[in-house]
Amino acid sequence: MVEFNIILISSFTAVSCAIAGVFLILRRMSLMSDAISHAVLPGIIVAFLLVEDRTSPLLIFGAALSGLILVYLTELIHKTKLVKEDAAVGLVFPAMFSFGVILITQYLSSVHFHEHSVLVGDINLSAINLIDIFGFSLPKAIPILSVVLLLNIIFISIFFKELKLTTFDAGLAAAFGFSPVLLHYLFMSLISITAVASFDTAGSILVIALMIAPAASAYLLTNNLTLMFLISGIIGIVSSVLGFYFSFWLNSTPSGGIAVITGLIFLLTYLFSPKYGLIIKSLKQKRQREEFYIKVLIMHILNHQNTEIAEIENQKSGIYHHLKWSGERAEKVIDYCLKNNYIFENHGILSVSESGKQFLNNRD
Amino acid sequence: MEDIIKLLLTDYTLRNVAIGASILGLVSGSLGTFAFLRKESLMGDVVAHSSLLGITLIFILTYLLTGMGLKNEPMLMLGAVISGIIAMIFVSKITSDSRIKSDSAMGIILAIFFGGGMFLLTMIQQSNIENKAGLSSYLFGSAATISHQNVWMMSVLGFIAVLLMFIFWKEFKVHTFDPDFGETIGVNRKNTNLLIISVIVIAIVIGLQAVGVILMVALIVAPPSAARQWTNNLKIMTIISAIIGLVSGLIGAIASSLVSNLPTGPTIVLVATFIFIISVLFSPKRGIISELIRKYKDKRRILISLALSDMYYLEMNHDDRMSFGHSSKVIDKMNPINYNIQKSLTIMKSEGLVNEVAKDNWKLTDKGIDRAKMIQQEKGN
Amino acid sequence: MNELALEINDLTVAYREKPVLWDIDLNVPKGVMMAIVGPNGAGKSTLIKSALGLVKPVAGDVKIFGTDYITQRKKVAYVPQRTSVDWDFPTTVLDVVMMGTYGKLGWFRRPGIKEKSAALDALQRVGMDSFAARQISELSGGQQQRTFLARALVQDAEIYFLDEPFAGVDTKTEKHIVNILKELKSSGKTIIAVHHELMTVKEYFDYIALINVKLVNSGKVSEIFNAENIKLTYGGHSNIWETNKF
Repeated sequence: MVEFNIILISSFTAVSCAIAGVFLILRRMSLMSDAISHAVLPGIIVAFLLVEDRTSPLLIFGAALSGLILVYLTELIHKTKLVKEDAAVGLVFPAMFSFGVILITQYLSSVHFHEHSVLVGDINLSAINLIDIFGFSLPKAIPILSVVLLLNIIFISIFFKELKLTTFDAGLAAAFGFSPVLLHYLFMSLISITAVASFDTAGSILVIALMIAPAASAYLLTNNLTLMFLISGIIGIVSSVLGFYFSFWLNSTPSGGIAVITGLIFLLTYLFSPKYGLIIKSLKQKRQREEFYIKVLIMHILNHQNTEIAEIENQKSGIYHHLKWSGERAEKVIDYCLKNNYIFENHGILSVSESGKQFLNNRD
Repeated sequence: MEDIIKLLLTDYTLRNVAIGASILGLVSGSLGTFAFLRKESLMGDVVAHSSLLGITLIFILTYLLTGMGLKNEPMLMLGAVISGIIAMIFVSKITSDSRIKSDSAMGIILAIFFGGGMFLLTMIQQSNIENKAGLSSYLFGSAATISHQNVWMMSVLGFIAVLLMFIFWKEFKVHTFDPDFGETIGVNRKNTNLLIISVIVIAIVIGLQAVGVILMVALIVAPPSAARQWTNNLKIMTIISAIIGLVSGLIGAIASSLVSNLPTGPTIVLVATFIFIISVLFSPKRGIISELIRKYKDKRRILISLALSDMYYLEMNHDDRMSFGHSSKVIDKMNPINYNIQKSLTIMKSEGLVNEVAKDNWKLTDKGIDRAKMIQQEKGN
Repeated sequence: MNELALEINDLTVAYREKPVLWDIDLNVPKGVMMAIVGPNGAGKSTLIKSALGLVKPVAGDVKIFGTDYITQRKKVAYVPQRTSVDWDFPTTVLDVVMMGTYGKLGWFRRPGIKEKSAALDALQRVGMDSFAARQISELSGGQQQRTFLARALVQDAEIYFLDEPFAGVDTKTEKHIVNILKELKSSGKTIIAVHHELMTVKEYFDYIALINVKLVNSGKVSEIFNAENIKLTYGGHSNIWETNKF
């Protein structure tokens, strides 16, 4: 039963993060997930110090506020033009996180929070912390996670058009009257809320991994934005299940295990994706390069035939020298072109045939 | 204060901490300058997080080979350097070979390497390998665990990194400013890039034990960000950055050794951030406050020249200007915008441009008239 | 004028298997001032970059004074596009100009008094001597361009490559730069510049290369810079093969 609960919790987390992650990576703000998942800490701690209840929704509010403060401070520093944006992010979130950790060690040491659990979460604890809902005994985290998941789905469905437009053409979006800044803050709030709801169970590493890796894998598999959400969500769930058993097997933290699995799935798509995978791409590139060499040869011969230097430039045995190719490559390309009648030979001088010219024109 | 100095001289642990923290601040501050100027601050975050995998892997490998936990920190540092560099190579490979953008590539590598590191770390902690306790100090840093051997190692690595920067200063500079131009004069882009990345990785690894993998990025970013505000000279910026790093490391590490339960990494980070905030606010050249003062002064100058022109106009159009001046109310009416005439008049008086001949009766001095004429001329141009 | 300053043979350059330059043959005699002209995306900058060894060709090669770039490096000066660098870099005008001496200094050696006075001389030539200590972020576009030109002058080269030296500079600066380039030319140096403004080609340059991925034509401005060739370069030919000479 505990097993099932852990998988349930991590799947809910995974889907929320994976959905939120799609626009995050498309907006080229992946590292904001890292920054936010660290920066929400002081908000959670301060809220906890106020209400002294770990399950209070106020903690989520505090975290979201903290996330917005991060976004605001980063923009504030960036706007002064005194440092660049990357440095601005790198200044704000470590400071906020440090503040949070010091709060923990000074006021909460050993009580409820431990710095370590901030990083990896405590999914085991969440799984045995149960609540009765409609007669089912479910982990307490589930209601919160469902709300967050629902929030993600609703937010993205409502603002789909706007998010899409501001992501791909912020200028046009502004001209249409959608404020990119407002949407940016709204979206960052969503990321913060998602991060904090997942925080308790998943810890910050897993938030980063689940927000970026499944979405990036999906990005390598499809060009269709709607499909990207679906694939990203599925990869999130698969990673949760596999990651759980992986860590169970090696007696380690599920968060770390799931993070590693998301990485492995990314690696697989990176290598084997039928559209954008490394292997298919290098095959395609090899073919393109061969075709390109043929074109270079035809082009070269065409440029010099019927000129006074044709005998020097287009001599079959000397062409490799002009193109600075290895003799082997030149021979291979020339043979192929002769065989396909793209070029013909006359007393050791090469010329381009009609079909050779067509080859150039047709397949640009 | 005296007590601290006495402690530093006598307390073995504290002395190690102080020397170690100074070295780490010095090295990360000076090499952070280049990360900052290359706009690669977040690369520092990726490298720092990623090194956890190298540290834990080396630990486990040695355990599997020797049956003992590794207490040999130089080996752990080596593991950190290697995994940091591998992470960087992966990021650039993914970015160049696929449609994944660099921010996502960095995020994925960070998550995998750090997640893997946490995975192994938890495994180690739940096992009964000896010497495992020291490992978790790499998360948030623990100055107290810095041993004499560590200090020695940090000095050697730091010396190498700074020496390389010193030797290749010219090349580092021209490559960072204008890599294409550098290449044309023989500064190879690829090699220089790799060299700069390597020394930055070394700088990060030196700090891991005291500051921790999560927060080390701050020591690469904050000192140069602060230093940049005080100077426009790369050499001086590097020196200031190194000093800021040193001061942050030293204050943070000593404070955390003296105050119970104060984690080292976060303390060092907050000191460095504090210095950054001070720099951004108060630097005389670029600082926010001096910028505000400058703007205020500009505005004031414009308002004063408006007031001067208006008074000049008034006095010229009353042919009996010798006899009386004008009240502030009258001058104020001259212009539709509210230019706080009382304040302007007070400043003008202190500069000798106007005289208050009777109560609230103002008249231009000769100097004021000259100035007003000058303003008229400028306007004419 | 028998010696060739730059000799490009059968040069093909591609980015991701898409040709940017197609089988270019171009000879530039010593002591001329050549404009490289063509529409956007014609490969003008790429041509300069491959001459400087910054871009690797798929086929063909480039010779400078008869041999490859590496051995002739010290005879070459390069003025990149002004916008290619971050002008908020913490350094001064003088320091940027001094970078021009690094190539001759080689590894390890630092610039000294000799290099500094050479840099100051160059700044004087471009009329920027009073800006030597100025932080580079405070420069106008024209001043940035003149700083880059001074850096190239310090290189004391035989051949100068300039990538859009007149982009975004005021007319006064443009005339100033042209005069300096003409001075260089009259002392026997070779100048090759990417140029955008067709109106000024005749006034500034004596040689021209018209390119649009392929070389359309090259030679003396007086001989080949005519309406027909311009039309061939810019004209509405969607298919670049049609511009072929045969």
